[in-house]
Amino acid sequence: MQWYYSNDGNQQGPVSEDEIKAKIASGALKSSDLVWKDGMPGWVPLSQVPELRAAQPGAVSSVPSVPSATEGDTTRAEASPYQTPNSPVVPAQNNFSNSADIPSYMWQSIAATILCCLPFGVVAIVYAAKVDGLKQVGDLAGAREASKKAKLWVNLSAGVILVLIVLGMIGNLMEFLNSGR
Amino acid sequence: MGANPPPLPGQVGLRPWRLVLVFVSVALMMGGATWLRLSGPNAMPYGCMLNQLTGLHCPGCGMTRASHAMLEGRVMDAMRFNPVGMVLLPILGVALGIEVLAWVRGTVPKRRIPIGKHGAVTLLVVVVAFGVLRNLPWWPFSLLAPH
Repeated sequence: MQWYYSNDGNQQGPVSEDEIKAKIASGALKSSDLVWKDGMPGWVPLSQVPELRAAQPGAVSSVPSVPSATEGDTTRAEASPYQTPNSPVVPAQNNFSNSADIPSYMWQSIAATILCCLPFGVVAIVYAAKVDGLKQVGDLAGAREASKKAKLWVNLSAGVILVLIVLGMIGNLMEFLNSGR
Repeated sequence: MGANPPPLPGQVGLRPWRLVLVFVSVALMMGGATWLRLSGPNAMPYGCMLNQLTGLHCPGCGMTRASHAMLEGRVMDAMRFNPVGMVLLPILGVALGIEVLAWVRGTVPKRRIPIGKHGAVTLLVVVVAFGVLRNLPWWPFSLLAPH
């Protein structure tokens, strides 16, 4: 099976399973780095892929903890991560990609406040400030909701500032033309 | 086998229309700057409506004059017209530039200028306080008024 992996946001691969295991063992890939192979719904952090977890330096130390196990026990201990159904991996993967993708719109809110619409902007800042806190607590649904609200108020401010600019330009232009006559 | 991997999270690819919008906006801003440079800060017949109606200096008062002074390289004059704006707006410009660049690329910025809840509130307080203090007619607050 051919694996792809990401390094600093750049896609690498495909490489064979032996190659990627060698990279993991050497420490070239961190447990938070994303990996993917054909058949997986999306990119997943290395630490959540059972068949690669054994190659991680951290996982090696756990192996000697069951040295007295019989051969049958060992295979069962190894088999359990393999038998983990895809379903627990999928939500974890979704959480991972979405958590990084929930923007707080904090700078946009500040710009809306300072450049144009103080009341709208303050509402946006209040929601923007909630996003990071909710993300840290793990409430991704709440964070996404707050992010959406912040975006809404920023967009509203942007609409108002555009209208104000256009009105100002029209007013000044008409005054300019009148004074020219 | 042979399936291509899905795009990495945060890597969706260039959005052409967003790029066009950014180019148009930048062109408009450069056009505005050129006009301001050529015709001077007092070419606008109205100026600020709020100032005309109430006589008050809002936190943004003096920014047209300050921008014009900067276009002519007169930094100290620009600081006299609106010191807070001259410090804050470049920072805001860089912060928003980071967001816009990521937005055009269809991704999320890897690094932002760090500002938390408290930073945002502090900025807000500074701007509002500036707007109040610069209307006080006594020294040293009178230095904050556009002059």
